[in-house]
Amino acid sequence: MQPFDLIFILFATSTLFTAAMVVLSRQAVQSALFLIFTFVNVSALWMTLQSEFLSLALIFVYVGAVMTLLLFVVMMFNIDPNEQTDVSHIIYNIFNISIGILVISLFIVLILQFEAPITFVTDQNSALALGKVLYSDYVIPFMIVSMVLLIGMVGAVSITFVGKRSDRKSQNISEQIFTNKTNRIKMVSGKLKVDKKQ
Amino acid sequence: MIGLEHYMIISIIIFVIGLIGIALNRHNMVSLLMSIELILLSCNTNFIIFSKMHQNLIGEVFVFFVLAIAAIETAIGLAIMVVIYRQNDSVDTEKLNELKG
Repeated sequence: MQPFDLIFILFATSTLFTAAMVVLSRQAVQSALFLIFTFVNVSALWMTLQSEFLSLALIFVYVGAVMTLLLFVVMMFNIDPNEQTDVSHIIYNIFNISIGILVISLFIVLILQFEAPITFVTDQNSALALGKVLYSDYVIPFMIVSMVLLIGMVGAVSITFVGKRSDRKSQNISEQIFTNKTNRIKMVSGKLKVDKKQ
Repeated sequence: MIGLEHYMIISIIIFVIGLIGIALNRHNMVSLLMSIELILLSCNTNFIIFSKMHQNLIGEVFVFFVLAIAAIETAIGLAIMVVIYRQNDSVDTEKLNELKG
């Protein structure tokens, strides 16, 4: 048993546990937090496969941006965790899980038929190699992906934007720009009263 | 000795957990989205494993693009979910029957 095997077993078991808890936990916030743990564990597994850039990008993109968004939205909803338990469909659930176990065992039998040892490269820089390919051969898809991200952002905002409401306070930018000093300052004539007791 | 085949087994187990999650929590749209995330994660893991096996960088480039598209897919899915929640005060997929399809 080498230290690499111990690291793999540690992260693999915690990945499987957290991934199962994502599905099994009743509270949506809990399963979102377990999904974050799954992403962290899988990114550690990717790190052991020597793809450092992608494993860090997974943490930055998913844990940093996507899961924060998901947690915000989950906390906005009022989901009753007891509402979803449908005990009448227990045969359906058993059927699903048994089919899942069948598929897993089938693939394990298939996969274990061949051996693929990991060949570690010592003088490799994953970010450098990926960047060289990404900015030369794949530069057009790279730019298209940036456009897709922009369009998706505009789409998400325009789906959820409902316009100005009368019951909320909001900025009126043109009114702010075209204001002048007479709207803000009022000149008052008269004597200033001073309270002498203070 | 740990080889790439053990990574593949982890990947297929995560994939099947995602599939079972879609079947079990099919009422709750948030859980559906999280199960789809698990499935995408296992696919990305498989891409990285085979990229390592063939000493070829194209698999990792593909994972990069899949990550970007999956992020924007989650954002738009959440936006649609917010609109649905505003419309009928729940994210239960059984209650989405306005079109009577």
